[in-house]
Amino acid sequence: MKRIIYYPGCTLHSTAYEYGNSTEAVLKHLGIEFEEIPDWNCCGAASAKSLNHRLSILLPARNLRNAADLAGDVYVPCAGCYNNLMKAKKAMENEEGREEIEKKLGKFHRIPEVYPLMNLFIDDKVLKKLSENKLNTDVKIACYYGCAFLRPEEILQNENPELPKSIDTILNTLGVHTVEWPLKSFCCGGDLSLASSDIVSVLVEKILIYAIEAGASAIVTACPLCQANLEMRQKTKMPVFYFTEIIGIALGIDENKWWKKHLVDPGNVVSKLKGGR
Amino acid sequence: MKIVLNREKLNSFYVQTIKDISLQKIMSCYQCGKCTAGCPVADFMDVVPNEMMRLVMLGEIEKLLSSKAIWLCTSCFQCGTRCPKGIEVHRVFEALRSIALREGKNYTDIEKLSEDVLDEIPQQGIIAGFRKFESLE
Repeated sequence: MKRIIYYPGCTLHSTAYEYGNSTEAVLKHLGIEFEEIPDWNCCGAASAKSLNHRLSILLPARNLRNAADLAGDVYVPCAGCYNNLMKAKKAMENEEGREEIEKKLGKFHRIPEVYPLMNLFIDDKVLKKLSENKLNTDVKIACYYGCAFLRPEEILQNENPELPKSIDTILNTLGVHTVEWPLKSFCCGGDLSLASSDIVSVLVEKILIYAIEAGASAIVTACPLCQANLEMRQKTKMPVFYFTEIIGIALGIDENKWWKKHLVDPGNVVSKLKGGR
Repeated sequence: MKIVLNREKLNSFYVQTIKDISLQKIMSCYQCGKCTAGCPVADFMDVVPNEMMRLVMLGEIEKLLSSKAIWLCTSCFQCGTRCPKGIEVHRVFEALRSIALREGKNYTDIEKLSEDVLDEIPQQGIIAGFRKFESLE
């Protein structure tokens, strides 16, 4: 169907294993060929930019250089990785920046395009395939985008940072009703979860209250840090899914090992969604 | 709070350094308050984002370097996205953090932490502490 370069980042092989595993399962099922960037490294996450600006550009740039050897565009499931890769891409836009990076990393044959994983699924052909697997369910979902897929707008230019809709489009195509609510692009607290978990708990509770108020019984996101914060710092017991897990349910390829990774038991919502298959 | 305006303060080394690091047109701010309205952690800050912008414009930097607020900013970029004057307010926060670190105003000597504390701190927390050793280049 299509061939892509895949950059899983560290999280999709570790703490967000269920995101990585569901992504690969869904891609295989849809006939989308993917290949990981050869010898990829950490994008630098939040740590590199705290240490050294140059390092925070060179780490993601090295992934772009390795990706350049393959054909196709790079798709990134993690919001933080996507943000960092786009920053490196932006740094290479002017000649001076490119020269400096190439001095360290060697010549780039090309600078590949970089997209968030959601964009792969809002392609017309993929949406058509998804629409053949509708879930007949009355479960309502609040789609949550967080920060790093949306901002800063001038670097990402991906979707409207105040009105994101890619995850909503995917779920709606699967026949899942998504609610309109105010905190779609609100920050979950991000890395503050380590230093000031009390503040993050307040932010997370705020997000959940608005989601519940809008009638949602679960949240769906694409960011591993948001997913971890939302499930770890809440008292409400509302499950938080990755969008690829919902696609997995619709395609009938979901696996129990995904649900075991969740901190909030998603069993109830999963069985309701499966009932609509 | 009464602040006496003087040109020396407006052109101090601190103000110039903030402009150099943040690359923002700080004097464009007209205090609409949209940055604070959108900030997820404004409730917890001792100096909220629009107050911070105002204090930079007045050259009152010391107050900011010792504030808790600069360490609470989550760098979610909401302030910058909504600023009608195109100021990336979060970059001003980042500049203030950089200056505070370079001045040793917020310093953790990791070697002096006890083993009990080190056992408790997650790895990312330790890495975040290392940034305080960044050179002054």
